[in-house]
Amino acid sequence: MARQRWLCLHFFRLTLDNAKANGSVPDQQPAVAYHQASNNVLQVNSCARKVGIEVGMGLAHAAALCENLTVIDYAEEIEHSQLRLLAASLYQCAAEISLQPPCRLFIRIDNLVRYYGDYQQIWLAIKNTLHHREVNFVFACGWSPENAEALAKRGQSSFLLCDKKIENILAALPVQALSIADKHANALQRAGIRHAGELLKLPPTELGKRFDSELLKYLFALRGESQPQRLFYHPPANFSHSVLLTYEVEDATRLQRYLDQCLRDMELFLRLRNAGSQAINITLYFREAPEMPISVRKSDVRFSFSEWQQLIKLKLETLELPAPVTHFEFSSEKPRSYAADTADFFNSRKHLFARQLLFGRLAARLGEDAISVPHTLQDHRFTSGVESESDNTQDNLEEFTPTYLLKHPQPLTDSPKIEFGPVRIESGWWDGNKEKRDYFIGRNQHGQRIQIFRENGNWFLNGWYA
Amino acid sequence: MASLLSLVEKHPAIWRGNQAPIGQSRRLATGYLSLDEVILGGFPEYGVVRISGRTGIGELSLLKNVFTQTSENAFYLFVNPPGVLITNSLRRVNVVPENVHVVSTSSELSLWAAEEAIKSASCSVLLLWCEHINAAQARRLQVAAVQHECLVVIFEPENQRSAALPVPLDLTITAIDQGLQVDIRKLQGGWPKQNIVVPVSFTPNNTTINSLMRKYSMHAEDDALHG
Repeated sequence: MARQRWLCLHFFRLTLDNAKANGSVPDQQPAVAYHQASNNVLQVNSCARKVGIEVGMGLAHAAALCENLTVIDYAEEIEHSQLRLLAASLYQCAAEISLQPPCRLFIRIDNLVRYYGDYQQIWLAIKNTLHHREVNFVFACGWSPENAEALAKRGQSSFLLCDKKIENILAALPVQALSIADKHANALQRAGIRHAGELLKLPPTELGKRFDSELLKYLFALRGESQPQRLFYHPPANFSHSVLLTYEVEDATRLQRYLDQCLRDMELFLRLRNAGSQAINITLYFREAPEMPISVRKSDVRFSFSEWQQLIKLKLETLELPAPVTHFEFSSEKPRSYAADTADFFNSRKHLFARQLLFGRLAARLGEDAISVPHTLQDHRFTSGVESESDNTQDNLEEFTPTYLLKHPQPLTDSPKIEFGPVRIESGWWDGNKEKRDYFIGRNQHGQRIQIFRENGNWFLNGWYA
Repeated sequence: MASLLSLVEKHPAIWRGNQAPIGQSRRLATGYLSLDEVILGGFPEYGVVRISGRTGIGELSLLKNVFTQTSENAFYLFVNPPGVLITNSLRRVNVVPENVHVVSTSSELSLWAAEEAIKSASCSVLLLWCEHINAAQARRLQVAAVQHECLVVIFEPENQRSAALPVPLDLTITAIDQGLQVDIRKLQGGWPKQNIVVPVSFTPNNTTINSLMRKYSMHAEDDALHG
């Protein structure tokens, strides 16, 4: 049976890459990811490396080397969340992806050859996907995830397909570079076994007498002779992501750019599922206050980046933070498929463009003024010409509102029978168009329902009911 | 010759007088039974309907139930309505005001605007008020309306009524005390019929108050007699 091929991707600077992508680390500035519990610098960007900071240093040491150092807190769960996002985008070009939190993932590539033609194409597809996400990584190829991992841990990228070459590199790896327990590594060291090559040459029965089965399993996997069971990545039903802010945010509007990035990821997530979501839930976590859930809702299911952005912006503008935000979680409500009303979805979209096109054509020939929306009466006056500042809508007079109004009331010439009324409107004293009118619904000899009014003893025709 | 005749008979819009027409498309019921019975269940879903009559006798209220059967985001275009169209009144006839636009232009250009609107395929209902429309113009609108799935209602003043038009439904409405009297001038797939009484009522009136007043004043008189 042919050996499997696995690709290991090791994202060695995920926290820093993420910080750079959302703009919290300025370009060309030294930055490190620092793990507080172990007082270790875990990730270093190239600028920081230039001034001499290295992985494994303490914070005091690193700070002493550079005065304008940006320090970002390292959190495993945040990196894991980031890794899941990467897996979600890689899932578009590869099916069997296995995650090794916090920063490694494995992709089985031998069975992809059927779809891509050759390994070159597979690699291009994976590389392009990752290129968009702007992450730094080391990659290596092997017979099993364990094998590929060991190769990737060297810190050098290689995409080797020749068994002989992989064997050579593997044989030269020091025992410490393998993923085996320290106590076993020390025992092997004492026995004079320094390189993986020597270890792999030992007969398994002999090793089995001295070491536990875990190590044996690992060695078999390293040789590609057995494949331990792995859990493959399965895309989640809902979009969710948690973001650790690089510095505490006191002004809610500053969250916008972090949220924008989440929205972009959500857009991809939803587009791939041909679905939309009507609500986004954001939970803000504060330094010294209980968390605050926020929900933003949109009326239609269709995803629109700009609409969501606007809605979130409006929400943030009115939000008062009780304390500085340290991190937040972003999740979408259960995606709703467009499928149920696909026709409507496409129809309305088509109609929207068609409508704009129509307005353009009509305006071009008839003039801009020719197209209008129905007139909304702003206050209780039934006078079409008056523009009012008042918000007083006519809900209580809906029944009495005529369908069409005359632009200017005309003197009444016939003598209609009054069917309803009077409705006295005395208004407009504030804007100089003072009115005191008694309105009636009249029915004239042709059966037309008309709105008439009496002012200063004269009768006028004001509109029609239809 | 016989085969030619059978070709004609296969046409869905041609039927013999003693047969019921076949292949009727969906009809939009007006909700007035007396009228729906006669016009084969309602207005045609797409196509041109002409309504002749005066303004303000309940011509839109007659269509109230037809409007409810359009889709939620159906776009309405009112071309040359007889006055300033008022938002608040549209809800009364089940039209969502946000979906309505009004075009006001000269009567020559109104037909052009109507045709453009239908052909844009964005318009679900088009209401057109015009003084005069000839057979060729109506035919153009009818073909476009069926092709682009649009219901076109042409309102024409009664006295201006032009000759027969090639449209699926042609009505004349007159106000009477019980509501409206509808005369069907032409119905594709059915027979013309006169004097259909449709109980359209669309404006509030003082009847309740008047009857109460009368009752109350009678009681007052009674009290005056007996007291």
